[in-house]
Amino acid sequence: MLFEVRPEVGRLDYMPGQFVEVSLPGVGEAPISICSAPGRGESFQMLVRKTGRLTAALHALPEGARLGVRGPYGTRFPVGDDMKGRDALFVAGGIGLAPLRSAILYVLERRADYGRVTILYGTKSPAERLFTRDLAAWAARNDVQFLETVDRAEPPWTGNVGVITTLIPRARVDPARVVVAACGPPIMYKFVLVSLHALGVAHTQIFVSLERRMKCGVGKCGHCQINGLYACLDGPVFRYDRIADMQEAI
Amino acid sequence: MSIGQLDVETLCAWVDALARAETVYAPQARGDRFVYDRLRRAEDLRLDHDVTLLPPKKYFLPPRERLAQFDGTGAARSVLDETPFVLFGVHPYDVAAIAQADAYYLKENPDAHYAARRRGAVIVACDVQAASSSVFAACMGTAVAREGFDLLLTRVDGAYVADARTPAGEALLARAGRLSKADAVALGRREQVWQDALKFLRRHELKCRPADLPGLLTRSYEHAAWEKRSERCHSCASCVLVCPSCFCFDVQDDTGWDLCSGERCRRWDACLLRDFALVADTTSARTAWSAIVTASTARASTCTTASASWPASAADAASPPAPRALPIPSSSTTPCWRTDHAGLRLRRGEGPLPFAAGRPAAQDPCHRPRDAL
Repeated sequence: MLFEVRPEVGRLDYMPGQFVEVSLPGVGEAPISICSAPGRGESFQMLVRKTGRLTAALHALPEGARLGVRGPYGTRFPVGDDMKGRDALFVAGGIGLAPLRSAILYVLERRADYGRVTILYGTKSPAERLFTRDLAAWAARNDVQFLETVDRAEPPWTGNVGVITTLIPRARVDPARVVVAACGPPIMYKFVLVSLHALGVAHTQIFVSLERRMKCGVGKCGHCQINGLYACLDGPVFRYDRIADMQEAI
Repeated sequence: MSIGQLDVETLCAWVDALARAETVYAPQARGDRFVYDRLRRAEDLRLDHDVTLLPPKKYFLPPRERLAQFDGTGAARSVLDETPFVLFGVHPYDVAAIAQADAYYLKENPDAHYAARRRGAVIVACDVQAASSSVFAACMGTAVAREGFDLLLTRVDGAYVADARTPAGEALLARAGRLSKADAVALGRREQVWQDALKFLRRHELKCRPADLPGLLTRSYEHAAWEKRSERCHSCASCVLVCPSCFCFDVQDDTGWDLCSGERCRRWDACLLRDFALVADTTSARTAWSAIVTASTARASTCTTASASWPASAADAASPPAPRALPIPSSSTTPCWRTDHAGLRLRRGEGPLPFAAGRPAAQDPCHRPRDAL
């Protein structure tokens, strides 16, 4: 479910890749990534899948209900720095599209600032495709290469079938000057990283967003610790070379 | 800052006055163990404790701490506990653990709840008089405290050298009345106590320098030792409860009877628990590790002696092995506490043993609590 959240006072000053801690008194608090592009008025958007107690309670809220929001927290995709002036490759798996959508919309709003832009999106089945209106809009653009695939096809799906790595060799980007932003399940990273390596993309050009249990958001509770790093402070977006040799990171 | 000397009578009068006027937490005997608890009178104070069941971190990071309160309207307000207190008789290694927690909770993104408690605390450290049979502080460089406290007490020649290091410590010490001057002999004795601590608070030897530990652990990620340890692990997290420097917490909402009002609380949590790193899609970043724990949990469930309740299992984990005699330096004549053969009763005496293995003697009819000071 897509939530449009409007702060009662001021506005949330965030960048793509960051997250907020959303809370309902009596139910609890959970980290949710922001899926809208910054600078779009007073509100921001979050895509929430119903998987636990808090997300179930969020789904049951009526329109206009109040929530508690802390944030924004965490690091950002390098849309405002490393990626500028270079090719951009977005690799999204399943609900990993949510935080990446923020980065994609940001880049497309400033399209002239970037080189070639390629978006790869993979889901398990056609029914699980998210933001279908955005997907159609990206597919229709001439200045964006948009490729998507599903693991299992179901009628009336006529598109690509197979895992997302099958799309990577088709990306029209220059491996030497591309910056990759990826978000998806851990298993996706394992194979995507191998494919990117085969393409000749250096670890320093790859940015991944890791899902962890970011309970406090301020580097205190210990739940999102990856060795000496905190996903809530040093992540959730990590440049891959910084975590490549780290146990339990991916 | 001032250094003075307190005889035991003056110390008792001072502690009694503090316990009446302030909230004082100090080590006391409970059964055959020591615990930190609210001190009501000086004779309950056991400065001769070896190790407490739970470390004093519980006063800065309580096992359950209220962070905020909310009512039925959805409005919430933060709750800060700023009640001042005196933490009395803290051993140097616990002082080091508090300093570590300070660095973690106060430096980057300071934690308001921890900071409020810490601001109101006066720490009275005390050099170790009775060594735990499992002590290894000297190997870690924490046998003697150089900083991180307001006031340091060191027992020398049947009296205490009191060394105030901060204005708060100075003010607290001023309430003891007129102090006698700590002369060069007393200070020399204190130096000897520190030297002994460095020598003898090491029942377990570290085979490397403490500074090498982080690198060593990083390189030993897949070491067979972990799997071997996990075979004895019941996944109860008691080791985390008794650890003076573990700091992880969980945050939960507790709802009142009206199902609307309630409070947001944090509780101690343990990174060794299987669900600690669990995320929304029910996968854990620690899959491989979880598999090991699952295996050991399955083994533990067949063990009929496994403790069922948390406090009991915490006590089990904290139980030191039976006291054994410590190495006896032949040249030292430092006054000390000696244990009798049963290892239960403490006696004051001149002897070559710098650190006795102290155990509470509350059940002992011969026990005179003031002697414990």
